[in-house]
Amino acid sequence: MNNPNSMQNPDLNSVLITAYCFINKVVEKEMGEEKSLEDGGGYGQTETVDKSLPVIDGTAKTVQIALDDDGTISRKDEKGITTKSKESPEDIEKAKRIQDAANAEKLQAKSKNEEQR
Amino acid sequence: METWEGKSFSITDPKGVSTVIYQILKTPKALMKEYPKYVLERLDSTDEIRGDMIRKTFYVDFPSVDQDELVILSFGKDRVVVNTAVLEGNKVSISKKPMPLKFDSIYSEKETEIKDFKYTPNLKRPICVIDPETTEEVKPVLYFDEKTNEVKGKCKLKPNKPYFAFEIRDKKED
Repeated sequence: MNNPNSMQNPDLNSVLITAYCFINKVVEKEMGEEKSLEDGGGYGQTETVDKSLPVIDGTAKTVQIALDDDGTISRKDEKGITTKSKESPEDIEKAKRIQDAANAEKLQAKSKNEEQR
Repeated sequence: METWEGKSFSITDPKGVSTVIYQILKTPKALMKEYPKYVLERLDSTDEIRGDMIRKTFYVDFPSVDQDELVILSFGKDRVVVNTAVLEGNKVSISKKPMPLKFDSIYSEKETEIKDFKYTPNLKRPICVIDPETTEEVKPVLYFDEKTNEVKGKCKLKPNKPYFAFEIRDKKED
């Protein structure tokens, strides 16, 4: 007798494998002409002339973040402009929980290393 | 009200390109039973139109104390360029060799039918599925099957249409 549960995963797996394979089938490594910063490039250290790439500003700025009463996030940048997060309170809570715990673990490990020296 | 410092950085998308960025959260040992080893956090962004281009500012609401690894996906007409970056302090460093992936569109004269693909979520192996046309994630809708007493998922994917799927895993795992 077929176990209905055993049929569930293959549906998505076969679709995902198709998606992977479909994309992988025509993978092309296109090596665009690279320009250094001195030549006017701006994509990290080098820039490809390939027009399908975004230009990335390599400088990150500080943003003040507040957790609102409704569980969402508000941000204020250096210019005083406020933006509201589009994420749901559940996703915010999950990410915050993981990252708070991860940061605490790293700080604890760092502190332990320093004590041992 | 709880407050803390986050980070932001900007990119400029040329015409016809739409970039989305994910932050890779590494689950600490204390939470490994609840969450997979790596959790992908899609970065929120705001757009500013500049002629034919769009300047996007991405927000890292939960930065790491040391450094953050980012996955940058730039969707074009028939391709997606995959790149990685590291955010450390106030500097974003991009890898020098982005990986372009090209996909052909499939044309069909037959009417397409929307099908529901059912699956039981594997919480230990999260796979992110993105519609390249909208750059939106295709998220499964969870429901409780009373007959089998299980939480199951329904994912709506259109046939004859490409999707981009990816997961994060350690190099050692195959």
